[in-house]
Amino acid sequence: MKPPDPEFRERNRKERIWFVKKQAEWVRSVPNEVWSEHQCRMINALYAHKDQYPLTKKEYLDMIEKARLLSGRRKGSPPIPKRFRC
Amino acid sequence: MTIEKKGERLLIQNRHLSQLDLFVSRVLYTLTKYSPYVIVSGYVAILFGRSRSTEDIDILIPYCDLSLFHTIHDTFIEDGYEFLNAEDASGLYSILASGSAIRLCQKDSFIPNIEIKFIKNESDEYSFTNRIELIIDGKNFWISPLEIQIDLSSGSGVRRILKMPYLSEKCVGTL
Repeated sequence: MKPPDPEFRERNRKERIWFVKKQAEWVRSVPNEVWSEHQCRMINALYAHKDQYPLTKKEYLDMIEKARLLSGRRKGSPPIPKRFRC
Repeated sequence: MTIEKKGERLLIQNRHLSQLDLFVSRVLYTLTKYSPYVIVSGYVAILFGRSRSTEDIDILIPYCDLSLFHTIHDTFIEDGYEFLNAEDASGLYSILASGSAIRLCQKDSFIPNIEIKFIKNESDEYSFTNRIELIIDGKNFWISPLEIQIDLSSGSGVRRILKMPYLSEKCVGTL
């Protein structure tokens, strides 16, 4: 997997920040029923097509594992310290 | 957006609940019978209005013994859920005890799923100890304190902050 070039990533990041700020401004300015209705419509549309997800269960889990490996995150370690085992 | 603070609780009135919210709420209703929990990460932002969905909802629960986990496992299976990790209850428990996550979903539908982990470090513990009760349309969601969502020590700090601009200043002032 080839990561996108840094310039593209930076441009993408800036665009996302701009959008999030814009959207947050709008969410603050309207009543709860308005922003949540928009949010619901979007999420429900995605939810309605959840069974058309192009991966199988195994492929999905493999993808998560691959992403974890690429990110350098360790799996399940360090072990849970004793003080959390009560 | 309007958020009310009543005692220690946050209330968001007149907010429509999506299918995703209802799925999470159903799972939490069952989980709460056996274990407290705290929701962390992206779904917290969604609850406060972020315009995105998520394929997994991250939940932390305190460490529990195998027999209690067996009960939780069996209840979810009876209620029509399944665990994505291809293990039986003991195998799933081993995954949790090793510090990794297990994934719970509705049978034959792995998107969205609930990623469950045991509390395993100080930041998890902070999220759990200081969790906030958020009530939306009579449904309870225990969420992590918002400040712990902002990881300023890493490069993702700015992105984390940007997930959280939906709280009114009035409410932030009281948290």
